[in-house]
Amino acid sequence: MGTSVGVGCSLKKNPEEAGQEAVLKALEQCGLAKPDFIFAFATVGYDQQILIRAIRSTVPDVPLSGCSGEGIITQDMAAETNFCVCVMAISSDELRFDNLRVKEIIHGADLGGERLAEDIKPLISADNIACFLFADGLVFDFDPFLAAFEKSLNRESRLPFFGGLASDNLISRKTYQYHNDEVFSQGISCVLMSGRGEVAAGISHGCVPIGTKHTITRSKGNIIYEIDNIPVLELLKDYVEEDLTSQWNKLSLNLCLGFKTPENIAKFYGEYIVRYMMGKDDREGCVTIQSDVRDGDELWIVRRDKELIRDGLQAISRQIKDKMGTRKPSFIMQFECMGRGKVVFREQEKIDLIRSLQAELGADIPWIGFYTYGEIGPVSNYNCIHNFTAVVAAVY
Amino acid sequence: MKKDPISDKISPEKDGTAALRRENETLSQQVKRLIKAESKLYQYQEELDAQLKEYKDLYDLNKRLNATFSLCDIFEYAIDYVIQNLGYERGILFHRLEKSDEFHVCAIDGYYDKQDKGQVARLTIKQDAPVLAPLLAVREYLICKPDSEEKELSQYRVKLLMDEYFIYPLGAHLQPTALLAFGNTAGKADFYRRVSDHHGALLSIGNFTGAITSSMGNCIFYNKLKQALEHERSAQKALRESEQNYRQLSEALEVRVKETVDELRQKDKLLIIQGRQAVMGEMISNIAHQWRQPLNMLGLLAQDLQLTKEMGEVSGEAIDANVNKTMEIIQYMSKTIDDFRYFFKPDNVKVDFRVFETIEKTLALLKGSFEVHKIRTELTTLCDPVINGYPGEFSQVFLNIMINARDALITRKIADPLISIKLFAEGNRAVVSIADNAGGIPEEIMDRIFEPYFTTKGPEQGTGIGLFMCKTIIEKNMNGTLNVRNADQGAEFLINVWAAEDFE
Repeated sequence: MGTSVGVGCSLKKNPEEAGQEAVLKALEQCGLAKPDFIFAFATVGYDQQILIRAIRSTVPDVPLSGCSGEGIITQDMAAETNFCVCVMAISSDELRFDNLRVKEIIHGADLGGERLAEDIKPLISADNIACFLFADGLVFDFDPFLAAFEKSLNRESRLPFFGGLASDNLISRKTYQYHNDEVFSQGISCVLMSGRGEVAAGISHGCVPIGTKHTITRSKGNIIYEIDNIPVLELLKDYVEEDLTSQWNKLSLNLCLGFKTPENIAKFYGEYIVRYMMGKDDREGCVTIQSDVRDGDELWIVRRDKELIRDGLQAISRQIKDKMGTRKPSFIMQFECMGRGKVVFREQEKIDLIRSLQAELGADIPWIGFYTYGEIGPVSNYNCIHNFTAVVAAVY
Repeated sequence: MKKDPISDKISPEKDGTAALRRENETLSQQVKRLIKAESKLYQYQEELDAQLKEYKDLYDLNKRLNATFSLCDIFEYAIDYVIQNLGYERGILFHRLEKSDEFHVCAIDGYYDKQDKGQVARLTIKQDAPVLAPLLAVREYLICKPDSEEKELSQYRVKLLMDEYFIYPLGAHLQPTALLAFGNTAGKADFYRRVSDHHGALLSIGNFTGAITSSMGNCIFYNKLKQALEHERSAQKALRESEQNYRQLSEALEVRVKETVDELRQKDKLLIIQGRQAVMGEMISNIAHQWRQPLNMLGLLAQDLQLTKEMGEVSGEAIDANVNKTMEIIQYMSKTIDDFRYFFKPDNVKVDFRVFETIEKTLALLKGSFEVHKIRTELTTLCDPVINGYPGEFSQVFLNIMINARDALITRKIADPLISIKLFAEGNRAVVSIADNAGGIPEEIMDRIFEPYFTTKGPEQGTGIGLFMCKTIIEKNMNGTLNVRNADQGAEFLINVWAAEDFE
């Protein structure tokens, strides 16, 4: 039998109708009545509980994982609206999908990592392929999570993580993670994929530094208070036309922070690793990013560059094809930074760009993804979180 | 900038560093300006894309609207557009039924809770509801923003289940056909297009409501036109059916009239025959009277021949004279028979005949009867017209009038009874005047004398069909006129018929 995969989507505004339409289309595409597993991504305009209930009621008892995104990506569309949902239905006798979840990571990303590791341990086997991770993009701190997870799991070889951080369309109020019937926030939805299969991935950002080097002079964990002895928000205000508070969303998409890429991954990743400023504190004048920093770390203010993004997608295609050879993927997952969507490209430009990548890898391959607040994908066998990046994982 | 304390000059090295710093600062400012410009560019891109999408959506909407002439379809499209394209959470379309002053809900979207949907589905708004007053007066739309405190608008938040909303009239402003209410709840407003009187938003809604209003107008006009055409078609069909019925009735009536006319003609013929038979006795009496003297003469001639033989004086001359005289008498009698036969000859076809000849023959038939009563007849002919018709019937008419005159002269015991007959022409018509001196017809019965079965002679003598038959013959069969009037001394009958040929 192998692996049968179907993808469906809907732009309907009624959550019940949208959920049903998406899952029914997915089932129709792969000719399945009851799949083994469901991935679901949707935007935050919907009543999330009704949406997930509608999907689950159509395929009762089928495990489901996913999260909210800023938009969805399939072969049919790359939609960035408050009302869009996509579903991938998988049935396979080669691949297994075990889903887990961790709630309340606000109490400490490291604790979240430990708990997830504990839960995943019973499922650890030689044929584990990868973990898909969908975490709350408003509270997730990747580095302590990863460190705690890997330490707790104590596995010889690293389990590669792919995924994205759940988003809420820049409302910065609440993102959602899905696990079977549960819809929750401040948590992680995780899927362990095992069996006979491999993942070929490509990762690329499209940012270039502007101006000179800066140095972090005061920080704590993933919070940066001062750069070059100046409060970060003070430093950034020169880059916006109006006041920073009202223009924050725009600024945090147009500009981000670039750090020197660690030596161990620099060869495959490029000179800078980019960080999205996911939050700010006007009173303290500080910003929050999705990984930890230390005082003395050097950084550059970086901006997106359309040409680099285009070139980067071609590089992703090459990376994947180099690894897969002539084999055809069963399905592809794309985790695309929301800063690389409609905020930088014209609608048609964006669609053409994604279509060109899909055409390179196979226009008939079941394809699902979402626009994220942060992308997760390994570089040189090191799990990393990225910003302003596209992470594309082809399962074959 | 530090100066050399000895030379009081700036060292070239420091000068270069300062220049580089200035340049760096300049570049830094330029980069910042570029970043700001780029940010603006992205913003404009997004706005442009949103506008293009809106134009495309409107184009698609127009295509859908142009493909329908159903108001229900238009309302569904309108509500769908409000939710799917304009991006508002909820929408309700109220329709005012014709000749009603109430708006009823006819399309809803965005109410995904059954209870909420049920609640708004029952809503009605009276046309004179205070909330609509500004709308029906001057305002293009009603807007209730989250911070609106206007009493009437605030009350409708609860009814519409929207915390911010617009109400737009669709159709003629003073008498809108429909009302479109749309907006958001407070809890979900962040995910929808906010209710705002920002110029761009109003332009979008204005374009949309304009298209819907225009389409509704076309639809209503089309349906009215269609209805009128259907009405006209029905009327034409009814007219055609009516015409057909009329034609059928007319044809039936024509047949019926023809049958009735034929029947009447048949009756007329019968009456004419009856009339003729009625005068037959009179004629036979006249013949008998006319034959009496010749028969006596024939008897005398026969006796004369016998006496001559007894006396032995029979000679060829005597016999010849006797025979000649006898034959003369027989010819006279034969002529009388011929005249009688002429009168009773059946009239199957119309022929041209001389009026004078017919009058003369008829007078010959009456001669005996008139002589008995010493009635004189005077015939004056001013012309000799030929007319077309039935000579027997014409003779019957003349005979009837003459007999009536005779009877009147006898009854009234006129001392010098006279019947004057004049034959003359009036233009191309031949006129026969028959006037007696019997004193005339009483005026009170003058109008009735041509009525069937009207007689002044009493049941034993008159049938009452004589003059009726005469009028029928002259006016129906010969297309002429028969009138009567009282002249100086008596009644005068005037027969007036078209001549068959021109005559002077």
